[in-house]
Amino acid sequence: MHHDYLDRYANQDSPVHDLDARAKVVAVLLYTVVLVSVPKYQLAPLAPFAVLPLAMLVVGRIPLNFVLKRVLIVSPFVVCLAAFNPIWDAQLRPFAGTWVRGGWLVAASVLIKFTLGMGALIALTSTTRFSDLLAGLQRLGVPRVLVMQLGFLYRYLFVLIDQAMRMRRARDARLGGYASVTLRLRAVGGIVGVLLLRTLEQAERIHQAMQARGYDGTVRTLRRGCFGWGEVLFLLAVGVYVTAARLSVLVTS
Amino acid sequence: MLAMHMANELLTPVVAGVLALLAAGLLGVACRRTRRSLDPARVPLMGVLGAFVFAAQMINFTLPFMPGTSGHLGGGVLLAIVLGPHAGTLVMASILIVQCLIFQDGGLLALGANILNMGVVPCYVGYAVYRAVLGHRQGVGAARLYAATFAASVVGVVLGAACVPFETAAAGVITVPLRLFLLTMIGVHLLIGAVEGLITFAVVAYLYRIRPDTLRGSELLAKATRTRVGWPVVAGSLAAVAMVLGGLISHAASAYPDGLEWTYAERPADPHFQPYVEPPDESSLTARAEAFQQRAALLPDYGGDDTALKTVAGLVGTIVTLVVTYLIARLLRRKTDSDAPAPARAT
Repeated sequence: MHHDYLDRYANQDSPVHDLDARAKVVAVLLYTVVLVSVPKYQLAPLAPFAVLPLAMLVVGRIPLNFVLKRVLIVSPFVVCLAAFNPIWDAQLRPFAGTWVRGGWLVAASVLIKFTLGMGALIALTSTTRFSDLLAGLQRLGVPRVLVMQLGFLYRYLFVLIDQAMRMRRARDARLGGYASVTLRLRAVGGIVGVLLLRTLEQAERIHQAMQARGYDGTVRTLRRGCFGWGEVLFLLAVGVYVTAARLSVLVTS
Repeated sequence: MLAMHMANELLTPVVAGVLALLAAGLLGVACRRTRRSLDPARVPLMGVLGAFVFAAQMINFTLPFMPGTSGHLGGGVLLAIVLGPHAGTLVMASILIVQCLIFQDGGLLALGANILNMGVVPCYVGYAVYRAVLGHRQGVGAARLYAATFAASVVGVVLGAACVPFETAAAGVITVPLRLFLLTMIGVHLLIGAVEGLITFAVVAYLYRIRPDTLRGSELLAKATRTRVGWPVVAGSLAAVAMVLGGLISHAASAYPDGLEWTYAERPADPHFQPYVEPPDESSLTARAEAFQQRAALLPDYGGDDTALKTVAGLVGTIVTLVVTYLIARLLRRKTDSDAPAPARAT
């Protein structure tokens, strides 16, 4: 597994990529809150909400295929709940000239909101390098300890996953599907246990190496995002847009 | 961990906000308590352990009765046993944030709910159960260590999952009845928790043999080197889970008529409801089929009104289902065994 797998589109160049991470985080958070606050039986007012994620994805040149695949992967739980909803919410409600079970409207609304919200989140994370995203979060007031922890997690994710995959391949080559349950369970215990001990020791070595380089609890980086007029304009536009989209809910109802 | 991430859309902004504040407060406490026991400069390094949990989830364990499906470690309870509940919660929180930001598992708004359900509850409750079962006296043997780890995993995972229906009900977007949703979540997560318990114990047993000092509560453990537990202990723990599960199923069966039947045929809560199907007359095919089913079933309608009988019915049902699943699995497996083993998938 490579760094490229996760950050595949984050290193492109586009106006969306150039925006400061803070502006994008605030915009997507604002968008999500307003989107989720749309009343559950209303479908038509959700249409204008497609504009922001689509615009960010298209301008950022993120393939929509990739986005839809990601949304599908994380959807099972929501789809299950939405699918059962019509059974219990049987009150008829007006929809497009006819009457429909309320449950179907809620199910559709939840799934549309889910797709749009995930689209916006994917637009944020695949147009922003993870390190920039973390720096942005820190400047937005997320505690430094937490941000650094996330940074370490991200940095060592690939190393440890590669290690785990190698151990898994070695086990599969030796055990195959033919071993008894006890033996397979012990193998899993051994692999995860070794991995844990290695990780603990690795963390210790990293700590010593950092101290040797003068680490005193703060991390100093050269990269500094800049929050300029472009970001201000973008946020203003998003603010006006979500307000207008939310107001259209009131007008149509 | 699979697929129980709460989504934004199941919550309202207010509920999500309250849960996020609660999670942030508890994380603050966890952070302060961790700093007290750990060199503050080391706290960020716990991120490396977060990466470990991701990696550990790659190590799959093919489930014995269901070939083709495999379980893996969730990690919350293991982290609590190794790092203590405070640090364990912090690591789980960082994992959930990365899952949200990189893998889009669970939304931004639902992050608070997810940190509570899969971080705070499994770590703190799981650790409390682990400590409670381990007791205070010296000389804890392998069987008790197994019981502590297994119970901690099952209770931690199930209680965390049980929070989901309450949060969803508080938001009121989805109208699945609370009791049914709760029973389903608990039932499914009893199984997930049992797998988690087995894997967690396998890891704990390994650590106990190699580096007992990495385990919390290791000062209580007997110095014996044996870490294998007998089959009766394992079977007993699994039987306990199966019994609770059977009890739940029979409870659900008695509380709700068959879900679909209920939708179309009767609706006590809704006086205006018109049944979609006519009540069957005795001569019709369905009625005869039903009558045959009544006579053929070993325990017709889950044993009538008697509660004790219902529980037995649930248990028998569970066991029969398990046996049938196992037999089907064996049959399918014999077929696929002749194929060449699939090459390991490199991602």
